[in-house]
Amino acid sequence: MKKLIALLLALVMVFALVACAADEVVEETPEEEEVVEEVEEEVEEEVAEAVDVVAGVFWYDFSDAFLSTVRDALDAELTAAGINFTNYDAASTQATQNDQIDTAISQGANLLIVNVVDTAAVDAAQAIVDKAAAAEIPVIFFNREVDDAVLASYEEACFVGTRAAEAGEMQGQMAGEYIRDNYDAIDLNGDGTISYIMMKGELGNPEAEARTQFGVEFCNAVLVEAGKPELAYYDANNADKFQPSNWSKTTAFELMETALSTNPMDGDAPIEVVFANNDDAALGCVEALNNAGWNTGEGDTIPVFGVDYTADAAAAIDAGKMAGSILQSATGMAETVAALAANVQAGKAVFADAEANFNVDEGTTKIRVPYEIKG
Amino acid sequence: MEKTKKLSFKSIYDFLINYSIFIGIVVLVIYTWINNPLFLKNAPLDLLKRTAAYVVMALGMGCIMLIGGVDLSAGRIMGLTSLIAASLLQRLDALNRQFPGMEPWPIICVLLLVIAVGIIIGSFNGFLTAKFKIHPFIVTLCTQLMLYGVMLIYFELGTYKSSSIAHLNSEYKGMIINTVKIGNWAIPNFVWYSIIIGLLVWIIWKYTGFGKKVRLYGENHEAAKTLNINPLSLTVAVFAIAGMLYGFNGFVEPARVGGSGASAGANAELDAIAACLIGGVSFKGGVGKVGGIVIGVVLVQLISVCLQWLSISANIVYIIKGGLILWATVIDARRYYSDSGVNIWKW
Repeated sequence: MKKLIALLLALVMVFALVACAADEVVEETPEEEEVVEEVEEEVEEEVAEAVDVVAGVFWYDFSDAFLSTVRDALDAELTAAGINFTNYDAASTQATQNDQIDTAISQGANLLIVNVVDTAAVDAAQAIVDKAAAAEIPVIFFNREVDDAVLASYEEACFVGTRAAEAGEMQGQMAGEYIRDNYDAIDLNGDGTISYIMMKGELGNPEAEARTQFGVEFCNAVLVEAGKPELAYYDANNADKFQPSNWSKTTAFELMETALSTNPMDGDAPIEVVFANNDDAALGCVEALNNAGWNTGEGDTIPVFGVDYTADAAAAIDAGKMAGSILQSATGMAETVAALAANVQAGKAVFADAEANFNVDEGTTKIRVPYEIKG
Repeated sequence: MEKTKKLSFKSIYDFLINYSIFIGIVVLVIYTWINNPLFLKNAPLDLLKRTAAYVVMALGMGCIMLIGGVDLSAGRIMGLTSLIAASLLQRLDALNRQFPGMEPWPIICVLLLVIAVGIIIGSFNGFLTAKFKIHPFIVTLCTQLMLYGVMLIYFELGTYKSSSIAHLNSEYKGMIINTVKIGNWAIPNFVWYSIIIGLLVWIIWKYTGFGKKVRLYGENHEAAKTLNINPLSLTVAVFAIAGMLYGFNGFVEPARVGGSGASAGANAELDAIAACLIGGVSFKGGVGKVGGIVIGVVLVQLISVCLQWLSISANIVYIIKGGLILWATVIDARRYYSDSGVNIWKW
């Protein structure tokens, strides 16, 4: 009987899911659009000179954990500002994003908000700026870095993001101070140097490159200043000095499991500190450590440092499984993008008043949203 | 005299080609071992766990390849079922519960649910394939996309979206990752589940009438008709079994890695296809052994593990994997186009 009920429940769930499959994935749900329209009408009545903004918001990948938070926040901000918008998912493919932008422009979008897919080559962003310039509409890039020269080529182009180096610098600083203050406890094998493992995000991504480089450099700077030796990579033969976890929890978990078999925690050369470019990867490492009986929140623990300060990481830090993380403010980013969109709505230049209100890079149209240390 | 000499040279050459993957792997293992003597002590358990984690999907893929098909939606079916399993098995006090306030489901119900989801999606794939005679490559390419959309929608139902669905209930996690100690090896429970599933699939393929029918149908679709095999029900059944295996994989995966997210299972089908091809499952259908698939999974995982032991950049993994699959396919093709290839898989 119990099984029968379970099966019935199962079927009901499944049909609900299958029904969902038929819906459009990318478009906004109708309820939300109605809300947008209602709010917009009110705004139009109040502000006569307002431009009727139709924004296309182009996301590099809907499955990205951090960007999902930004998307929630930005949806709320744009809706509150009465801006009509549509979210698009490029699913990590630049060509898809270009097509989506073309379609949106042909449908009459007059503001592009772009989370560019390809950050390694300038051509991708340049092509998008050229499309915007040809259609004479402003473009706001965000989160994924765009080259200065690309922005300089069109006066209505700007960027909202974090300074790529900053998260790594802050992570390194935090880790350095933490290790300096607990040096002997962290040096598990007592050889005088701390061995670390680095979980790097996507190769070629400026954020990942900077976090990988500066996380270690800034940590070393703190240690050297305190008269301690620099960190050593746990695998001395590894010329890369990182493992490519590609932002993924599963990949980081598997890399860490194998690393714990090459360098077991109870052996001569244990891994003594973990750096990860993002919290998902850090938490994957924690899972692997848990399997080895470490970092369970009580007993043996090595410091694990991440970036993003996701809710899961916050909980892991509270439980003592992680040592710290760097908060990249999703709401801060969304608010800044929405403020620029509001400029367009008010009929002003997209980057109007930005210097007065935000942290802008000298001589560019790049706004930097600050990070915060959470440990 | 000369003729026999030539023959023996040819037979050695054929032997080397037919067993080249094994020879290469043995060389790789010995080289890694010489490089770091700890390898033989520590790597086998790591390898066992990785193999157990990936073999279930590879067996599902093997079922479909036996009838001459391929399943590109395997990874996403596993991804969707892992999302469902994780969301229903979160701890009550988890701070980002997918369904706040909902009582946790009995674990067995969740298991049945995700398996049912796998079966239904699999049957859907199988039905379209057989009923309209569409190549499963096309059918599953499309369902794979649809499933990703469903996964995103499902993920967004949650109250807190920025992170993976984690904080799983400890009873469920224990069921998957608690270990049984054998000698020095702490073997997690999911390894046993994978072994049981492997045995079941082996029995079905080898000893049941259904297994024989699948093989016959895979060898020759037309001839199978004369033997009173109904292509529609057989194809649906094979895809349903595969879906069931993906569903089970999806049930295990969140506990193994500590959560699931919208990108769960992305590209996982490629590793499964690779393992099958390397393990001697023919793309042409009809040929394939469970033992071969298990070895295929071991080899695919061994490459990643050995390269990490050898401190070689992981970028090379892709080149080696691609090359290995091509080579395995060449060996497979030799069986069909010349008499020098043999099927080396006995079980």
